[in-house]
Amino acid sequence: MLLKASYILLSTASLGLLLFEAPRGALLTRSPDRGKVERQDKATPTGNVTIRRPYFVFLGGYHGGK
Amino acid sequence: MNQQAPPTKLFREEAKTGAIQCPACGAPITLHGFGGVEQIACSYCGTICKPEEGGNLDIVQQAQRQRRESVLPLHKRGQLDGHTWEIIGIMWREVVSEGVAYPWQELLLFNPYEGYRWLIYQLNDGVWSLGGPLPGAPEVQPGMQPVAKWRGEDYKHFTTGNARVTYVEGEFPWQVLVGDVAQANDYVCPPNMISVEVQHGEHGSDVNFTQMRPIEPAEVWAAFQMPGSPPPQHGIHPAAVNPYTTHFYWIAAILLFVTWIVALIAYASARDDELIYSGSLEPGEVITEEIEFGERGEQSPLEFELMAYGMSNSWAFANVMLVDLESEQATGVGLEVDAWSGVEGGESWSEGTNPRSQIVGGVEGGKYLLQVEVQTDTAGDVADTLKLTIKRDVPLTRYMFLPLFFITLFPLLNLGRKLGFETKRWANSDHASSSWEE
Repeated sequence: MLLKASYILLSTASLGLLLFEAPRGALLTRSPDRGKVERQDKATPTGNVTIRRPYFVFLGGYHGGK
Repeated sequence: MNQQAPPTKLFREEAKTGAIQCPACGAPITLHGFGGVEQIACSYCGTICKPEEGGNLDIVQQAQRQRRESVLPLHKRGQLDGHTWEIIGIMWREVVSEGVAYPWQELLLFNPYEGYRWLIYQLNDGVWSLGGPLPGAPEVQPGMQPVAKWRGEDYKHFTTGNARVTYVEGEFPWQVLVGDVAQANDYVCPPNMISVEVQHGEHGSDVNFTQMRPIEPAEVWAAFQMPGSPPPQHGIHPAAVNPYTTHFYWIAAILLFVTWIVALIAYASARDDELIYSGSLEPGEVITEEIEFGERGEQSPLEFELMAYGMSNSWAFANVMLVDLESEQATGVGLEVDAWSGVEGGESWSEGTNPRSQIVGGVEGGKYLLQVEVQTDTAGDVADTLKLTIKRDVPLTRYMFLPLFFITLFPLLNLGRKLGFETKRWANSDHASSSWEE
């Protein structure tokens, strides 16, 4: 009986995921790195590499939001 | 006047109940089976006697054996199928197959209004059967696995063996001696079982048909008010109902499968699968570009794909950032492509991942600054150029096939358990690893 209930529960839950969560796709995908960035507007010498401005440096982590 | 001779009796006089003595050892014997008793085996010495018309006992086979303890005692009374039964006779039998003995105890139950029943206890696996005479004869069809047809049901052949009597005590409505051998043929159609016993004698063959069904050890123990617990059961009764036989999983699977197809079509057809960025990158370059996709407040998965051209034995890495200019929060993804090849031991090999794609979920739509920074290896053939594509609202196969996994898993699991049960059941038969289908 428990197995039958689990079957219905898991099957309908996964169907629910397909219908309601898959369009967002946040649960079964890899989480990207999210965090604050720092803006750099001044040109800094970096050899021959072309860096357009503004350039953002990823600080990473949680910074309390905004 | 001539005195008329008394009429010939059609039936033997009923044996009187009451205590009489064993003519061999003098032990008290109480008759319980009334007129139907053909034989009495003294519980104490094993001497086989036959009741005579005058109420005396005639010795048929004298014996001097020890009394053995059976699983239930002689003359014990119990309630089964709504009737009171008394164990009036006990017979131990066994079949020896490939040097292994399979013993069982047959307890003859008697009720003066219902007749006789058998309660059978298998010593090897602790299973119990309750049987009675079959009101008729089944039609046995020979074959690789013979089938006994009885009242529209097919009983599959289970075992055939020569059952030898090893111990007798109590009363029996027929003659049975230690050492008697009968060919026992068992046929099963859960929850019933038919046993066809053929005993060859001086005056031909005697064929008996018995119908049996499994009975729980606890039910027997409770019926005869035995103290403690019954001997543990560690086998499967040949006629046990397979507990995994159910239509539930297949009916549910069909319904869920149809629902899955509908949900799949609804999901796949609603995906935009929109290309929001496609651009070439030069090694060492950092690019920034403003892109806009989706709606604010609406989340969707993004697929990033990086592909390197003209790269061999080298790697390239792209650090992709989507910067929300309002919040200065960024979503970052690192993508590395590599390609390695060579010749070793005369055989060429190649490995690596190119292109590389990665999906990140739950990215909110809106305006972003895309910043891509590319690094390349300094050794090998460095990539001439790299191509980055970003798509939004891509269909995700992991979500699409997860329901199918669960929908099929449980029915297959149940099928496996059902087949496992049947394998275990038939392992003790003459047809091991066959007859799985009921």
